[in-house]
Amino acid sequence: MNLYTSSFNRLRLPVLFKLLVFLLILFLILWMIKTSLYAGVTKVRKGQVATVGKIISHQQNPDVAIFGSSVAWVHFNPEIISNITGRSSYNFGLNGTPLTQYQGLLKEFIEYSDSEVIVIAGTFSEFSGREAVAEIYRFTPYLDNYYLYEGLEQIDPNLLWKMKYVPFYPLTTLDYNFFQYAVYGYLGRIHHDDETEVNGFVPQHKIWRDSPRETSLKATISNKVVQQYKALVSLANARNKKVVLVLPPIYYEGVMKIENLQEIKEVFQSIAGTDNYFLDYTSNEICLDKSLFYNNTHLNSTGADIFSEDFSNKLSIILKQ
Amino acid sequence: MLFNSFEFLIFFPTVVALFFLLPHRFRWLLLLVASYTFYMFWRVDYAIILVISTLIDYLCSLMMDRHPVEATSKRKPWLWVSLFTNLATLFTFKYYNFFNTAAKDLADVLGVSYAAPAFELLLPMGISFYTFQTMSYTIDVYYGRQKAEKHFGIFALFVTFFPQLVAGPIERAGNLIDQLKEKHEFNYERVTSGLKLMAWGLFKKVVIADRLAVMVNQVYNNPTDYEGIPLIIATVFFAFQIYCDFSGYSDIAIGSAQVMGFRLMENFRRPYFSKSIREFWSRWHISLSTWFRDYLYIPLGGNRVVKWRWYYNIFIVFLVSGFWHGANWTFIVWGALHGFYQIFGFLTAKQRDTAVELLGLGRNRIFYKFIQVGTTFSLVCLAWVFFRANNISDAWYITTHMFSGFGESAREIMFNVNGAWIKYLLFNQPPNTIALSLFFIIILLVIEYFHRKDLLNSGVNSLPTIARWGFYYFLLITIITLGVFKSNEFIYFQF
Repeated sequence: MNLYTSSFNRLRLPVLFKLLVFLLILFLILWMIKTSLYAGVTKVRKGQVATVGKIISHQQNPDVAIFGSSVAWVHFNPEIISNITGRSSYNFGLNGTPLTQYQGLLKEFIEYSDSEVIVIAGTFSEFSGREAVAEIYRFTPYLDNYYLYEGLEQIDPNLLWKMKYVPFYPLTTLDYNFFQYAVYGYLGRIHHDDETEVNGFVPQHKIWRDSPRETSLKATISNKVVQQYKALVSLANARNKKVVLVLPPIYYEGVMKIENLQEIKEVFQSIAGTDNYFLDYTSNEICLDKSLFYNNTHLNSTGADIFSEDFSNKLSIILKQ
Repeated sequence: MLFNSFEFLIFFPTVVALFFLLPHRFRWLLLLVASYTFYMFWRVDYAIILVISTLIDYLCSLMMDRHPVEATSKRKPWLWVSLFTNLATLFTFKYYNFFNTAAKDLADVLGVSYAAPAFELLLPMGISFYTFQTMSYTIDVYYGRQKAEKHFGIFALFVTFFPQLVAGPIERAGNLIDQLKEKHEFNYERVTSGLKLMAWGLFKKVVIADRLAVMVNQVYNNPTDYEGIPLIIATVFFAFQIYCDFSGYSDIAIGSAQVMGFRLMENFRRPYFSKSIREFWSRWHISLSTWFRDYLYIPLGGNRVVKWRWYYNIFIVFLVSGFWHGANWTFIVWGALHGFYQIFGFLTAKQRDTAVELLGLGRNRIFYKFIQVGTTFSLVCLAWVFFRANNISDAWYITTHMFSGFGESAREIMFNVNGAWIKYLLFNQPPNTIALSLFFIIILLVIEYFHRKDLLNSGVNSLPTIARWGFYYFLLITIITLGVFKSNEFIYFQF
């Protein structure tokens, strides 16, 4: 049959019905896929996906809560912190995720938790802002959470709108990690990257082989991000929580390459104000020992333990005040 | 607007629904508005170039049409105005900086001062496609092969028809203009057939091409990090990437036009099953190949000239074809290489026939065909190195290190030296990326092979409803869940 010259073929009822049934089944399959994937992911017990889930489902309520990007995730050992301070502790650090991206999670945590202290660790580029949501799969199942959605929407409103309101759109953004975590969630298995995780902290047993940073740089300071910081600190204070801002160790040669480090420290200090605390580790002696790092801005497991001990001692003093 | 975007998912059904709901006399207007909307989603201001190009070609063709075909002296100036406008636009946006840099380099060599400024102009999307389409129209009108279109709206729609506006197929007025005037009724079989073609095209683009792109980019953006086997794998992957990307676009274009009742020309006919380079070019980007045949090769004399001139014509056509793809030496070398393949093929035809006879290859036809297809594919891949490489020196590095480092890379892979499996076989990607890529390439080849025998369409249609729908669901769900949707433009948009 010539499809171009054949006579008018009306859009009859049986055809419409067939189309409707086809689409209905498609919707049903997609719904099943989406629901089962989300359910699998929410069953994950360890790793970055689990960290997000634990906040959204209010499963963690430590006395000392640590937030931040990778510089929180790989530096703060909650076991050491608990041993020294006598307070329960959990590391909510998310790799590749500065405050501008996890602000919704932090807000949610502040609202539900009874924590005494919230530690926010930010690296020198913390105030640069974001143009895209990194590794969105970690947040996908939880976009119904008001704060989380509101926070991420500020980075990419177009994407977030589609993720929330276009049916099955999130399925087009998922990657291999999400599928893997969903399967692991059902099987009760732990992803090999997360096997060493203890209360959110993942020690990095690595050696730094590359050369230290050679070129200098000037980190951008976005006023919008600074305001986000200030708003969160104010909210935490209003809920009777102390905030400790931490600028973690950077290898000393790298420190010298940051042109506006002093300005960044001043911003941290201004956010902390007089009611909160700012701990600057960029001039700490840890920064002098290359063997404690695995790159310019990240400590390896040995370095992290030394840092955690030092931090815990300082935190103990803060907790007594 | 991209075919693989959420916007198109809303845009296309809306246009189709309105198209069939509106009376025939308003449909051209709807499609024209839709086509400009489609284009302006990319950039609003560049639509003015489309308008100017349309206006000039429309007026020139009308002016030509006022005189009989024989009155060439009265028609020719209008042809020149049209050609000059189109080529000047193309030159300004696409080639000026290339020639400017070349002139500067030459001046440096000669020790002469040269200070013409470079322009920072963004290349209008699809400019090479729509300028070629309108040039073919005015040339056809000049030679009397095509009547000048008097309805400005229909002509404007011919230039901008959204399914093929930005990456072809480059249509001929003789095929498309009449169709734009015809009334197209809703036809269930045609609509579903068009939708299936669109789904298949989208599958090729987002599931295969964009997945392969991750690995190809990894190697081609850092070629000196690799030697031997990974360079070969990345090049073969690029061959499939560009095929799935471009033929995927063509399938979506042809399918979306088909849904509304328009028949666009076939652009790809399973090119990687070609047994010679000549056959490859009759199966790859057919609308461009036939354009060059009709508007360059034949006017140059085609094969009705002395032999050396014939070879010269072939070489020129491929050189220009390479240059059409981009203002970069890599494309020129790519075109030249294909021209060389063709000429070498003609020159050695007898010797190759003798060799085949002596080796007895002809006795086993399947094996012989396998050798032919394999050789052609290898030659095409070698040329793709120049097409994909960021510059000539990268291309040279890749071609010279593909085989020189083969043994060493094979040893490293065999004993997994310094994480060679992850670096050379997985290209620093998760194992699933390469596993899925290979799986889908096999699916592609199987489907293409069966499609050659026209079994796919009839085969799927003859299946029981459950199996047929199962196939459709598999295709759609794979696209949704395994497709790479990261606003990846189609490769040919840059041309």
